[in-house]
Amino acid sequence: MPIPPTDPAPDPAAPPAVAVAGIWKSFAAPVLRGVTAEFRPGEIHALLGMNGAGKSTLMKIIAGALQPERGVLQVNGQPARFRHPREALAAGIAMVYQELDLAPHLTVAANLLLGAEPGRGWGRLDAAAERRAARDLLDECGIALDPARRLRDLRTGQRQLVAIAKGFHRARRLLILDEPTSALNAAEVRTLFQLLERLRRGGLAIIYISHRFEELAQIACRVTVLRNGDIVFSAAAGGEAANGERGAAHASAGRYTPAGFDWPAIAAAMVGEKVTVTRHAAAPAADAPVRYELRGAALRGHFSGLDLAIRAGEAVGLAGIAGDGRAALAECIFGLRRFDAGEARLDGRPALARGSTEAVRQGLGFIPEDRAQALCPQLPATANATLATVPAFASWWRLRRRREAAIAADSLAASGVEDRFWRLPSRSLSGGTQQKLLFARWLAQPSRLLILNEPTRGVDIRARRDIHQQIAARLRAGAAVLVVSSDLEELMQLCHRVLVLRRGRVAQELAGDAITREAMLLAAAPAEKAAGSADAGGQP
Amino acid sequence: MSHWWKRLLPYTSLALLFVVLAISSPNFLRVENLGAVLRQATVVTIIAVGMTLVMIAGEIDLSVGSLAALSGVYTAFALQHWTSTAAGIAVGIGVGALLGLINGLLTTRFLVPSFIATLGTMGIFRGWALLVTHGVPVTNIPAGFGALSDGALFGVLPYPVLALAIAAAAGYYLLDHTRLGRYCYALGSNRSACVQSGIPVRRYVLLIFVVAGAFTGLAGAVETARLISGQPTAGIGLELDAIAAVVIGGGTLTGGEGSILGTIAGSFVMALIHNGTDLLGISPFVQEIIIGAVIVAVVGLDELRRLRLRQSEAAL
Repeated sequence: MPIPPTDPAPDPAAPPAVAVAGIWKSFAAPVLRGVTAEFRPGEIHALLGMNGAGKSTLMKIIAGALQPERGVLQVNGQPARFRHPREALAAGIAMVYQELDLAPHLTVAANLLLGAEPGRGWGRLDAAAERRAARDLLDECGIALDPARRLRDLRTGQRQLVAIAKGFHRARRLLILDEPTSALNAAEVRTLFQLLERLRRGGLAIIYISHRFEELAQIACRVTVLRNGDIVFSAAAGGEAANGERGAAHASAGRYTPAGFDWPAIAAAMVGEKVTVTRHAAAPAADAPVRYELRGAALRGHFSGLDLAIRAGEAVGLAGIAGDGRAALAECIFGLRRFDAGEARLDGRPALARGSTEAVRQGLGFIPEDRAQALCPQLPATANATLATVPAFASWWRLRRRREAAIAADSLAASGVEDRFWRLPSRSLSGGTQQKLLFARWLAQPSRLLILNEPTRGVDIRARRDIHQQIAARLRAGAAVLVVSSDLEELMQLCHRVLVLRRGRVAQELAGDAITREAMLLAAAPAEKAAGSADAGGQP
Repeated sequence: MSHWWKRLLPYTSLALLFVVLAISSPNFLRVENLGAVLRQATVVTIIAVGMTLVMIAGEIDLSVGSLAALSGVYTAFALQHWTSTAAGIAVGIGVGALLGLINGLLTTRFLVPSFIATLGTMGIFRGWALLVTHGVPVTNIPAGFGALSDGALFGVLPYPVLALAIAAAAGYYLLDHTRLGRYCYALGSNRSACVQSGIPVRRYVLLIFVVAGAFTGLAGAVETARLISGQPTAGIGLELDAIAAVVIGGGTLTGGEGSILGTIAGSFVMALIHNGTDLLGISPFVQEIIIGAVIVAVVGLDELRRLRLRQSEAAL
């Protein structure tokens, strides 16, 4: 599985491709607090950190999308200042956004050269030159793809390779990749890593953001951990770095083996000192009835053989990393997608929802990851709150407005939406208020099982606390709650049990005080297994 | 503040237009003239009421002109057969609803986007009407049915106005006081929010097309009364007038917005422009230019206002 051990380690004497020193940036609060780091040519530099650690802010600064308040940026040893991503691109720095900047209807060649098409004057395209250039680029990257194929006919993994080749075409100094493997299968990951290894050997600097320890163990030359805007850990492959001694040792051996990181130490560095959180709602009594039960659930390409049982008044969390099937599972339970296999029971009765209409009728509620998906922007808060419960106050021939107003008022007030917002269109409300509005919807339409996907993403601290109290109140009222979240602290605060998913299977079940951030991190991306495979691959 | 300004825009333009015409043309305020305006506007306004539901739900129906013609033709057949006015109207509405069902099924079951589906049925319904009539108007219908166009209830309330009032009231009630109306706004505002709230989306979209078809069928019956014959070539281009009425009345092509009152105002704005330019002796070619300019100006103004609203909301 790992890439065969390969040749030259990065030259420690060469100036870093890009270096940052003392970078400060704050929005409401400081996000980066004097970050100093080097990204060397021929090095795959893994960047880790929990949500809000400052990774994406740092990357945006390097890619020219944000300007730091203090600190310097150096490109190839020279100070640089990017006021716009264009300037970073001109300096050879590109960030690869998953598939966002690809046009599905155009060919591979057209995508690779989009905006830089070879022309023949007068706006005429030189199709032959375009094909040639695309072919050369693909060959250089070692990607076996026909440049004449259309993007939409390719698999996700192939599209990802095209996106990287496009980034490489534009920027030959530093390439930034953010979770590039989340949508890829194992074979596609292997191809991607071969491509990255090839680019690395060509002298490209690569910043690789990912939380998959086992993948990092295969390709990372250096690991840096950000926490609360500070770099709290940095090591080169095989041990202590910074001075490049280890790198030299590898180089003298003629081989470079990206292995031997201390993964438990990295996980500990990511989460920081142990926090004790108070769980918002007491665990349900031992004899509380099982509210929702799932057996042998499977969805091809996402998860298989999944069992799940949630008792009344219990909150069960789903932890993992992007692409592990959590979101798909939540959507299947709510009937937005169909399970390939499995059976579900709600309060003991068969309850495999074939559609969201049936799910709502059975007493399921759902709050999606992206709240814009669930809100009608032009409708007032009241109509949004009652959207799932219209049949309760409207028949075919009559809509009882007073009854609706009463339902809306009750649920909005109980969900902590201030009454001055009730008549406003939901698009003019803040993210936190919008999120509370969705909770109001599932109070107006009482839900026996509430499925929450990232319930506090992008809301401020006060709204987050309010929402957590909302969830606790539902639990006390006897609802079962399923929480999908990448905010590990949130899972600790809310959940009585946490299932850690890995590649579509339950890797570990944690309960009570065993729910710690380290435990969830390591279970989602087990270091032991990663270290093991890397060791095996590291043998000459 | 911008909210009520926006909501009032169609009515203020209508009032302004009315005053300007009353001043500039001595014939404008005469009862015969205003009656003629009402009669001319009836058919397109009834269609526009149905179109309002469809467009608020984020769909479109391009087949209404052909659909009205086909319903009108069947109304004429029914009248030949039964000679009863009530039967004629009922058949018009019923055929309209059935044809609307076809539009709805194509959109919700065969998943053809409504723009394409109704572009297709626009041709199909027109060909169907020409086929069953051999391209010849269906005449020999009871003269009494013509009263639906030029008669009046108790001698005061013209029947076409009555039909328009009933259609408008029904449309208003449906939109503001029933589940269907609430879902119209929600469907046009955000489809996925409706799915996630457990609303049977396809069933309601289907129903909206059926209801719109029924309104258009009624308009077809009124048209048959106006022409005292079933004309297979009636209503060509009506879909554009109906869409324009909805848009001038505050609706959008993306859905989620619009109202029956606004649509009626929008429809009468266009009727007054037609009538006024006639009275003032302006060439019909120029009329087309004016109407086109009004549509662009109204929608452009609205988009500008929306942009400013978004900016002020973003600043909040």
